[in-house]
Amino acid sequence: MRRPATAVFAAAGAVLLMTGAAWASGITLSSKHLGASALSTPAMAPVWISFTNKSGNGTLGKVQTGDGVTFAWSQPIDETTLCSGWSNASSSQSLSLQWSVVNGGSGDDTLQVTGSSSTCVGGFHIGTVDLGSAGYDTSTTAIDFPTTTTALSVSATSTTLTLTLGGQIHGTAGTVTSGNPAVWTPDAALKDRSGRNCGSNLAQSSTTVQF
Amino acid sequence: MRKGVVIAAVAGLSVAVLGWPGSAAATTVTPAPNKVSGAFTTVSACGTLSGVGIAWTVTANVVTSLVLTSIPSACVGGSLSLTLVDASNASLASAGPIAVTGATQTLSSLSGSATATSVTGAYVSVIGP
Repeated sequence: MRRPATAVFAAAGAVLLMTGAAWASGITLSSKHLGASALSTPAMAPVWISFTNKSGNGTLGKVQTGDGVTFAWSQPIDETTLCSGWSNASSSQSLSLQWSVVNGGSGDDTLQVTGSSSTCVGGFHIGTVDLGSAGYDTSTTAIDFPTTTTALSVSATSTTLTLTLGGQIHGTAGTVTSGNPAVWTPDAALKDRSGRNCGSNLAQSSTTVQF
Repeated sequence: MRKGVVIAAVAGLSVAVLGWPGSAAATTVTPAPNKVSGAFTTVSACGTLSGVGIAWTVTANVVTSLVLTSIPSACVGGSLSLTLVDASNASLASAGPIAVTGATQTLSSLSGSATATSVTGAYVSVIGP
């Protein structure tokens, strides 16, 4: 029984010596887990959403004909995945399409495509925009813009879609004075020319009051 | 006789001066903490970090928050850090360290400014648990 006890004391002494050694070197290793890795980052993603107020006499925070919205992606998109009738052979496209500000009920109002076009059989795959406030549409009916100019521009490294809202009908537009950034959730069906969609990546506006 | 004494004194002084450099060198190598030791231990990652996924939120083309997914369960309790780099491997922004609490982790505070279209990769590290 005494020999094991002696052995324990000897071990304790060794531990104490090790403690001193650790102090001397200034390193304390408290875990045996240390890992690192390189990761892939999103190549195809939304990178921009912004709003412009109707030039001239627009009311800030109130959606109306003439207001604008700009979307951008990090890559040249496969235009046919946004609108089936468009072709990558052209770097610019334009059509008139109905967009709406839709009352979000208990949540924020949204901006989305509600119309259809014979050019875009299967829909226009932009996704949806949470406007960051419930105050843009104060009615239960969507505010429609049936003649919204929807223009696409594709460069060698990115893509931009620009809207100019037109032909306002239905609903009641409220004026928002404070809110949150708008968040654009892209449609998973839209892809770049390498076949990649936007995954779970989001873009948000730098403004908290839109339009 | 006096001249001989002076010469002898100068010679003695010279020998003494020549003797000093040796003793000066000896004092400069005296270690202050006189305990030096080394040790060896093996370390391993808490899991396969290369499978971690990244999604981000961008504001005006600048990455403002990150969501990491598929973090190995064995890493819960560890300390995670991440760096976004450009094509020349230069650091653009970094986040953490934060305590890993689950398979999905949000990094909402980044130091530096990473333009989304300039980011070409990321490095993640986990210390512990």
